[in-house]
Amino acid sequence: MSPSFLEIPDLPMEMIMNNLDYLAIQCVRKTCWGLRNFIDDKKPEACMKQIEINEASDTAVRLTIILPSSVLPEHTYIDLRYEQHENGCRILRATSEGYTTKIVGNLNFLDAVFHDFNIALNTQKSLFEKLEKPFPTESMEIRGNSLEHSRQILQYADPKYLKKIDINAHEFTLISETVEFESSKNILNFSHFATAFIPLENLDVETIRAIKEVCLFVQMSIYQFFRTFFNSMSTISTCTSSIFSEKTCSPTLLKQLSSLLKRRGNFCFSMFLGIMKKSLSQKTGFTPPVRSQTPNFPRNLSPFPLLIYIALPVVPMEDILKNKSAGYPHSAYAYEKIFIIFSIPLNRIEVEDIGPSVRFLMDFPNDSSTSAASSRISLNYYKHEKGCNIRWTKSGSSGEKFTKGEDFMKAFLGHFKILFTHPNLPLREFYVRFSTKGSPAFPANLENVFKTTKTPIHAGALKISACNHEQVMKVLPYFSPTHLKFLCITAEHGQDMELKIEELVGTEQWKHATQIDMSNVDLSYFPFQHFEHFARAKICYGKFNMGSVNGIIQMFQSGSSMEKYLQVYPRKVPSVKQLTEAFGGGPVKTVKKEDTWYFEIPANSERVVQVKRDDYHLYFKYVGMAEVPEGAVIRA
Amino acid sequence: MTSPASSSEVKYLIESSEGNTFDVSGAALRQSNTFNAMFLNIGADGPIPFTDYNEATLKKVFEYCEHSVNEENYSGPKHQDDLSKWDLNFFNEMDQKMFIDVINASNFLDIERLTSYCCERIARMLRGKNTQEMIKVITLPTAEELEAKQKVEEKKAAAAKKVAEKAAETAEKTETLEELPVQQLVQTTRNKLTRKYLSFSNE
Repeated sequence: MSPSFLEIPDLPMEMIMNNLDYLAIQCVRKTCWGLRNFIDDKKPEACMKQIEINEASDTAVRLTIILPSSVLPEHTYIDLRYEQHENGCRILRATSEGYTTKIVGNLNFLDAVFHDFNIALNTQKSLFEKLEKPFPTESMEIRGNSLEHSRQILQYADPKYLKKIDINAHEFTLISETVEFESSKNILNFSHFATAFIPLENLDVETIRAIKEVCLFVQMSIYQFFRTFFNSMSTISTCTSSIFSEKTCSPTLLKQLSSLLKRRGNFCFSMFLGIMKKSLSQKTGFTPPVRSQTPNFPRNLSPFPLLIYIALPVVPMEDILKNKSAGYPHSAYAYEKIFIIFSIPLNRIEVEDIGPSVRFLMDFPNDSSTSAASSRISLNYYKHEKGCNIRWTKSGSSGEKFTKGEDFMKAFLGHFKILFTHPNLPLREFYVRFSTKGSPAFPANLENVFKTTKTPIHAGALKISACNHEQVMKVLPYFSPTHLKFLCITAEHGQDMELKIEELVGTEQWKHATQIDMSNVDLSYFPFQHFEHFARAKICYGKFNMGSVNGIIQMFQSGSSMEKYLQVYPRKVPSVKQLTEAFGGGPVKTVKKEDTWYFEIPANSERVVQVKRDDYHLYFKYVGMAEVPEGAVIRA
Repeated sequence: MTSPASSSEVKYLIESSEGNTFDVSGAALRQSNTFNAMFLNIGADGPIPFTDYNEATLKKVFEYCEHSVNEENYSGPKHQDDLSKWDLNFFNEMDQKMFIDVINASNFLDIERLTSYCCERIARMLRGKNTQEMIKVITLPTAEELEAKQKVEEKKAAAAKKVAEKAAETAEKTETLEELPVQQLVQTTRNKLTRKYLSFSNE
């Protein structure tokens, strides 16, 4: 019988095993039962430096064992990937020496992982330098989205050896779950750490003071935290000052800012917002920057598409809904800031109270990089017997969320308030509809939100669809007269809405608006003079007679501005005969079923007043003499 | 022949399993912790018996000890690259049987340096090999060899059992005889003789 190394006594055999690396020990373990039992019993020194176990997906787990490079060649590792397979488990084994794949039938992949992981832990006798699972280790590094999971794993770490705990979320933005860390009351819980790195998203004076007291008391060091905080702030500050003061920004700086915001998430995002706000208030006094102010920016370098790009994916509207239970969540706060500080120009906001639901739509400008569908967020708040149901649509996707015990109206007003509690960029259009089936309290609630705004709402156009005068007045006064150019008031009941003339025309918004559309409200009792300042007007006169026509013509003839266009919707359009008799002389036919008359302007010989008639309307406007057809009669 | 705590010139006689004896210097022998514990202070009259190991193995072990007398600053096993030419020759001259015997003897004599060197060398032979290659290196016994070994062991066990039973029986008899009182012994003998007499008279 040939001599075998199995005849070597236990003590030298253990010395031999201690000279082997993990890979070799596992190979020796497979040679025979005698050696397997010996290895399992003695647990020889396997010299593992680090074990990583990652749940890659629901059907795959990765186990990596890194061996020290001092004994072995550098980058010695075993990387095992266990995947669920239709016949069992597929194991992809990559080591520093090669790559193999094998399929083990009738074996659950998780059983395989934990079997091998168990062997790895049992083989280890020395101290790990780093470990992502419980065992005697100097450093415990846990990456997960749940603090509860971290706590479960952490409790297995041997406190005798543990020197460093590193708990991080997969994505930095999700660290907001650790909201209890932010409480300054709990700062003392960290007092025994020599060095602590705690990312606090909202750093306030009170917290800094508490940290300072703890530092002074126990001589601990939180320098890393402060260093990171101030480094980030410094970069952001440079970017913002560059954007606003110099009105130019290098691509490198923008890239740096972009990567910083993406990498550091909400932490830097909120800092950025804060600095932006400060810069805006200092430089522009909250005057919102618009694209036209930065004409020198090449399109791809303009900060605003960049900011839209950064901002929208970070805090989509559904995040507000997700976190809404926490009152005003951080993301909602950030979302609010996007509109206020970044001042992303909104095209349109629509609010409709349509019975037991409220519809809220936001229309963003259509950027070239995004499709039309992605520039709109639509939210529908439905009344539910047990709470509120919110359906949302954004970027072509949609979803639904039920909030128990919350009133749908309050839910809407909460979101709506986010947009209007601070000065905003001019909207292109604001549309509000108080339907006949709507809640009686809705106009008053909406007015309360408008009252909380620090400055009037900036909108280029305001469209109000109301049932009565009061509802109109709940909205109109809160819009900035300087920005409001177009006013549209329509009646929910058809033309039957009594407007209080004196109150309406007395508003600054009425006086400053240059265009009006009231084609759906009977203004028979409105003197024409109130429309004199409008450059373009569409009005409805139920009781429209020849006296009214003459009154309008006289208004045009005496007008100082030559830019005026009036379209009148009478219930009954005066016939051609009536008009011809009233004006004197025959009409000039230009278009079929349309008759046109011209009237001279005493103060201006180059222009005339044109009166047109069709079956539904009467048009009044200025035209040049050149547009008057030959042979047409120009009346005095 | 020997005296404790003498100078390094003192020689000790070592007896191998074959009964042969040979000289080993005191300095070399003192590398063995086993020797130090057993004989260093009390001395030894006559050859020191290491009869579990053959002469060749013991000579090889003490050859290493003689060579490493002057290497006082020992700091663990050396890597292959650090081994001197002498060391390499020393290991290369041995076949596997001798190598295993040397490890066993070294382990028994508790010569730390030699044991470490040998273990490091075996580890080097195993490192970087897959399971099949390791089986060849370790030289696992074949199924036939295991069977034969088992049979031999069974025979030995059976023989040992027989011997043990016999010894136990003899001991029991002796014990029975020794324990019976004299009168009882006389009565027993008398009964036997009476039975013989009766059978004779019947015939």
